[in-house]
Amino acid sequence: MQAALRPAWLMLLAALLASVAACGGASSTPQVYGTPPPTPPIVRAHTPCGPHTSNPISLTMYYGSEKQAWMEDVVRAFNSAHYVACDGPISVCAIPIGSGDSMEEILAGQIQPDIWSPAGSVWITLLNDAWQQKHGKDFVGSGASDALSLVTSPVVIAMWQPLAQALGWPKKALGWSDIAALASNPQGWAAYGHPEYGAFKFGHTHPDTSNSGLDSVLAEYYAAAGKTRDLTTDDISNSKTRAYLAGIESSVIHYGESTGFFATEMFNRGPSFLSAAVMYESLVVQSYDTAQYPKAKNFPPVVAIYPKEGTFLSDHPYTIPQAPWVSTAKRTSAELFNDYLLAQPQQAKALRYGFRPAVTKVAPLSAPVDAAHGVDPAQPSSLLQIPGAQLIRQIKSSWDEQRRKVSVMLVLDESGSMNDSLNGKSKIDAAKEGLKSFVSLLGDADQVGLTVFSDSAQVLDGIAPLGDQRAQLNHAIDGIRAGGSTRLYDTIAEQVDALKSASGSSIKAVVVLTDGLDNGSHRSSTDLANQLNDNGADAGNALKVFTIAYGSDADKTGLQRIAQASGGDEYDGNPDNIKRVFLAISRFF
Amino acid sequence: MIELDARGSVDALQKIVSGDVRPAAWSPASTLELNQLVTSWDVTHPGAPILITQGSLAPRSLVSSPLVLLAWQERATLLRRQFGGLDWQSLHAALTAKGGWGSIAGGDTAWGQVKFGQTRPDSSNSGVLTLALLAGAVVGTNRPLSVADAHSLAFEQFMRDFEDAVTQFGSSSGTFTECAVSRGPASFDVVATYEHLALVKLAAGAPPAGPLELYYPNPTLLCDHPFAILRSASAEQTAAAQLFRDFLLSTDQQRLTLTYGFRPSSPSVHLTDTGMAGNLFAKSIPGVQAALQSAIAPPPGDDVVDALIAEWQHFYKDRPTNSSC
Repeated sequence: MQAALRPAWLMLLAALLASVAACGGASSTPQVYGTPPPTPPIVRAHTPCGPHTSNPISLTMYYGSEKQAWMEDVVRAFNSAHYVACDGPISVCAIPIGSGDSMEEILAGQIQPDIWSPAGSVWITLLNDAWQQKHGKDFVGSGASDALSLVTSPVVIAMWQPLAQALGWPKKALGWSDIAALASNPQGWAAYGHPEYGAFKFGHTHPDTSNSGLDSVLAEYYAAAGKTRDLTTDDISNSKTRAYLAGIESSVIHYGESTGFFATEMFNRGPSFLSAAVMYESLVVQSYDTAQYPKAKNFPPVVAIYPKEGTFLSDHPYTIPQAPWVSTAKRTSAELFNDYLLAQPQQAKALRYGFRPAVTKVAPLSAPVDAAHGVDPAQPSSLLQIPGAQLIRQIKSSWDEQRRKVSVMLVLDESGSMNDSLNGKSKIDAAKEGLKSFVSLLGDADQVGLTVFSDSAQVLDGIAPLGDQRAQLNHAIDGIRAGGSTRLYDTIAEQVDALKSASGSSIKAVVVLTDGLDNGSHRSSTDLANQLNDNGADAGNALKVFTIAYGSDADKTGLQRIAQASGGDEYDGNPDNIKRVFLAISRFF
Repeated sequence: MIELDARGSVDALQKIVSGDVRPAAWSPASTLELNQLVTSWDVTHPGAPILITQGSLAPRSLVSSPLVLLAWQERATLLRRQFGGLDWQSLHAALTAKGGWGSIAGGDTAWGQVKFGQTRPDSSNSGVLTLALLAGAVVGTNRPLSVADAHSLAFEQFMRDFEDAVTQFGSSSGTFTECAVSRGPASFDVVATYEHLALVKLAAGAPPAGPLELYYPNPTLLCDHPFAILRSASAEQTAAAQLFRDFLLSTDQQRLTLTYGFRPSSPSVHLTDTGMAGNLFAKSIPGVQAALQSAIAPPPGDDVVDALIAEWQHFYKDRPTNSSC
């Protein structure tokens, strides 16, 4: 099996273990001093040098994963040039991570970035608000050069061109009202002359963790209230707004941590999986790159809809925290790296990845940000006002009530090998803790069940609203004892069949954790994958299986085959990361 | 050797007061910040003034630049036609128009509501000047503003109608103006900024989003860029600072400021100096008033500035700042 955690998490874990060469400290090759520093194309403040040393400076940067391809390209070039600010040669270790996740980890003290570049400046507002409450000061300063934008990209609704045309695009301006009408029409695309596309299947990421998810939810609330600014508590809580939100959200096939994941799923699986998804203009541009999305040539082109009610700009600010771990030597080096990113060659490279350069005087907006790549450089027509931190918290809380609920069966391997320890931790105990943390992340209106298997499967709790059985479920998890063989695929197949036949409009999912090879089933992973693979018009709404290969003895290839066939995702788990893996899966719901 | 530290005036003010930076000389955007520094310092260090304020070492203005409004020409034309002008009262009517651009003849519903742009007054001088001009528009006469004016209900309502129409506040005039222009009319329809920043943008030709238009509120306020020497500087530093200041006020250096759109302080330099290559005032930029036709309002006292900022912070302190802009 290939890397099962998403690249963001692989990179993070790898960095923490100092196992990635670029992140393992300064290069040991002979240093080339005196590489001329880049000339910033803008006037900006620079911190005066402290006492000069020749010590190498290594900077850790956490950045929004949306710009991963560009960032990896330019960091590689920067590190090979051995730039010097006030001290020794500078090397940058750049780690992609969801903007909401990096914010939470900074607040929890789990990461200490020398540079933080979330996807949007809204995250600075949210982090500063929380940092103020904890430390009495801002994490990011408010000076003129404290958060310069590196690149921008409007938040858009990516839609297949024939579907957009069915709605009146490009002559008619489209927006959230059209999405709301589609989502609430029981006939789906048939009402627009396209029965072959089935139901309207929509996607956006989770607002707690992803910038595009938060922007999407904020924009939905603005559209519901008929406003572009001054959203109030009353606007958020009134019944009309709630109904509008619930209508749109009812068509969401699942949420998720990563905007890139949606893009990959949509461009590689086609209109039967997703009709439209909220993402960045840059990803629409990239959808035309058949090297990146080889299956995209089987489908019609994708176009960007700039919501007529207004949208947000993802502006990728570059910040150097006002934190004790950022020394003067690091700060001066980080300022030099900022200058490098804003200089012409790097800005021109950003354009090639579909971003709008921040410094247009050195890299004017041009192809591929054009109609030939499904986007319109003259759009958006109007940007929405970013609300304050308190209002955003209210909106996220309200959304949590209106989001599409999930029915999920948790399937846990309790075979004898689960009694073993990994890295000094009991596998079964860590898995039980992970399951309990997953349950704690779901709402009372979500439906959850629990099945364990070894020689045979046993349903400990049937699927039922969590509010009615939260305590019972946790008690059942506590009582799990390992022993016996691994009847994996038959157990999954039985639970998939049971959940598929259940009524209700919720997202349906099975989450499986197993540590060994199947030695008790009649069917193989290929049989099960074929059963899960839905080729119908509404494949996106099919039940999804999320798999966790727990430890190195699990059947990673088989688990990956099953997850991918269903449209779910697969993860590598161990007792150390299992809570994080369950958190990542919970973001799909 | 001179070590320059470029930072926002309000940021620098706070860092000088807290002792985080200890410059020999300071040149903020305007005398308003100098006055605030003197007052703040006096609270914690009574009887030990921070600035040299007497004699040949007293603060001197290096250049000046009035507060102006920069708008997208297409939209400014529609607003002028609909509201009969572009003074503060007309702008107020536009910003509060129910139905936004859809209700304005020639406008497009997709443009949303009419949007105003300015920097945060608690981090940037142009934000303070904008508030002072709004307060002046409410008072209606050219008398100096009082603290009571800043706390009046009439000003509160007028200010809120403007500030509610700001999509996102900027933190610094320079980066904000750059950003407002490069991001096009989706972000802002009309922004308050300095004449020199506007002239640089206008001289660069029409941006992709279309031509811009410059106009001057009447009255307006001047940003006077004083150069002040701190008492904490050593005798050598003081002498060097004076030498540097006099260099900046020399005719050659003052002529050079014309290429950046500043109004020189030296009476021997003329704005229309065509002999100075790149003089932005000699470029026939539409709307530019080399001979300023707008009156200059009296600068507000630092108690009024504090009151204006406090009034603004009461409603907008937690509003997000587009610090990337």
